[in-house]
Amino acid sequence: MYALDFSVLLDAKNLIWQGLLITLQVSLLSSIFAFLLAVLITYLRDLPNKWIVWITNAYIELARNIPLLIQLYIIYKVYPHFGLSFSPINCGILALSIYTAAYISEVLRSGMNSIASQQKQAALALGLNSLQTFWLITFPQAIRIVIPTLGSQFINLIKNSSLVSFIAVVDIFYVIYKGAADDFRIYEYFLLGTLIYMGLTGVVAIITNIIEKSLKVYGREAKV
Amino acid sequence: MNDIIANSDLLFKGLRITLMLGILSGVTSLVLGTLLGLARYSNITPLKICAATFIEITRSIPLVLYIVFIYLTCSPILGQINIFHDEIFGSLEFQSAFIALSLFTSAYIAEIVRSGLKSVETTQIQAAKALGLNIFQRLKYVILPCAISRMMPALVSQFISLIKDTSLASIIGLIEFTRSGEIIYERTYNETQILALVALVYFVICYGMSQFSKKLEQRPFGIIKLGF
Amino acid sequence: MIKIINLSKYFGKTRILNNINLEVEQGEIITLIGTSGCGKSTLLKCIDGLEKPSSGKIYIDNIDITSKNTNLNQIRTRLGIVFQQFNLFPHMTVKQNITLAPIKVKEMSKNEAEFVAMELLEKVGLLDKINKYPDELSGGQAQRVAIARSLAMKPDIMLFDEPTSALDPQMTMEVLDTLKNLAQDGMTMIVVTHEMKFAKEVANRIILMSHGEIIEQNNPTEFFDNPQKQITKDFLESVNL
Ligand SMILES: Nc1ncnc2c1ncn2[C@@H]1O[C@H](COP(=O)(O)OP(=O)(O)O)[C@@H](O)[C@H]1O
Ligand SMILES: [Mg+2]
Repeated sequence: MYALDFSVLLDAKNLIWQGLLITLQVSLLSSIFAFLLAVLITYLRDLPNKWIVWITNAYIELARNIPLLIQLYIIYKVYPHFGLSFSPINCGILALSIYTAAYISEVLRSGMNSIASQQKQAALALGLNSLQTFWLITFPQAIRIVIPTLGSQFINLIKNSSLVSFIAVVDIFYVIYKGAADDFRIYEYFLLGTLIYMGLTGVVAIITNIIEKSLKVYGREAKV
Repeated sequence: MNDIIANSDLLFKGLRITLMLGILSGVTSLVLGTLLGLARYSNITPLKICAATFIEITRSIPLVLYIVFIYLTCSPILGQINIFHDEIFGSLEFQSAFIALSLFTSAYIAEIVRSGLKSVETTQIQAAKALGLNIFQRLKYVILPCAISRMMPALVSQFISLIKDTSLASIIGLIEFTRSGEIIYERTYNETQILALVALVYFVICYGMSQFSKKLEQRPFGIIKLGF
Repeated sequence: MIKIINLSKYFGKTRILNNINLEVEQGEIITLIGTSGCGKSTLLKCIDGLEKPSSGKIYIDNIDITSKNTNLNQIRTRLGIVFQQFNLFPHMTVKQNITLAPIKVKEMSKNEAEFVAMELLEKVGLLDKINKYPDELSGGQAQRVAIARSLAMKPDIMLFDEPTSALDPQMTMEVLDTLKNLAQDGMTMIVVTHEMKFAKEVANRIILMSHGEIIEQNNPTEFFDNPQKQITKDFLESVNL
């Protein structure tokens, strides 16, 4: 019988803490960049310019149909050949942001599509320009509708952040994996890893819920 | 270019493993996921709780964690069983990756199945009941056909994710497509061409699947042929 | 034919049906009226076993359908129910919608079931739609197909839950005509409706429900010309004939 011995985790607590901080740092920064990039893409895709729409669509298809690991390797291994060198952790943040932004912008677009086109026409008819129409009229309505789906994208991002360990960034997954394999304390480490990731994704789920509720109080809700 | 041609054997072998892993765990997770989804949709409380627990835990942790956990815990057992003597299927890495990907994906498919089932209106189900159809007939002729056509887009994108996810099996040393590319550029230092090729191949497979799924969406019930 | 004794139904803590007692004879045509939310649909669903009563008994031809030992699916083949929202199966053609239950539940041969389907479609005037899908039909047509689908099981009793509420006046006429034909054929029917003219012309008995209780029941002449209860008078005033 395997006897659980959690003291190994106490011995490694400094490493675990550092790994957790790296995971938090990567996830948080990538979330912010991914969201901003996605908003920009969503705006560009709504413009009446064929070329811009084509380019943004191409970006989204490429980002969604190539494994994140390959995108990460390309940034880490190929970009330096073209004079673009980043630290491993920044490579991770860049890859996660680009990858997740494509998914988020799809979510935002489905929200935009569910807003009646009369809203946009009415705004344009009032003399608002395309940026004002987007920022003041269509986007605020769209984001309310898609908040639950958006939340699950950020949850995916946290889980995907574990891929930075493939380019030797010591995040929480790396600490767990190395600890489990090197100390032969598989169950202790994996139990901890499961709890940490459940905790992190759980927090995002709760935040999503709170935002969803608070937005419902103000302003009329758009029905999907 | 020469590096690619010189190593095309390794690349093809890697691609074969990637595709086999994807297809095998795709089929397995479809079966497993449907059962789990039905269990969570059912009214049988213990079944429901077990399914929900497995699904929720699996969905909250990263796939790499899952893969290495299965590899570290199962490979001693798998090594003893040792049923397949095939070069590919017999490897502990392949078997572990297959188990991990199947279990992991089945949790996501279960949720797709459950929300597909839930999307069938109660009024439809009542109409079927009122005609005297029993639970199995209701599932077979009314609930599943309606649910499946609504589930298709989500299922296809789950399979696209699965194909992309097979690349993570390289962490336990399985020489699938990504790892075979990695081995070649570690030897030749030709990262640019090899990663571009690898990316292109994944793109063609995954983009092809997504376009196929869009075709299906254009004719909602076209995929379901009813013969009774 | 139908006998309901002390039927009550709760959803959670709210009482929806309160001590309903009702008997329906063979060939009777009953219209059930009352304000929205008073429990009409719930009553029909209880009769068809789609909702389980919280207490009380329901007998169909002396078979207790609330008993655990009763095979509900078998009883249901003797009852047909038509809903406000038609509920045709969207992935099946009109023919498949109608023949599904006869083939699967009554184990009719495919040819026989298709013959029955054609007969019924002829009767409701929709034979030309036999190979169409539900989304290719108008509301009135869809509702008549739904009626044909129920009739294909050769039921002894038909329950209608506001069959015309989702339809415009023209389509309402089409569907009510189908109902009148059924009545002339001697079908036992319970019809929930807001069409007072139909109730007056076709029904043998009118039942008014309010807050889950039967308030008043009588033949149409008495019911409309000589209502006994204040609630009935108020209701009749509100629908102003
Ligand atoms: N499945 C249910 N769960 C909870 N309440 C219900 C359910 N079905 C109906 N009700 C409630 O029961 C009441 C009666 O409903 P219903 O029988 O549909 O009324 P009617 O058909 O007369 O309009 C309503 O207040 C409704 O909200
Ligand atoms: Mg009703």
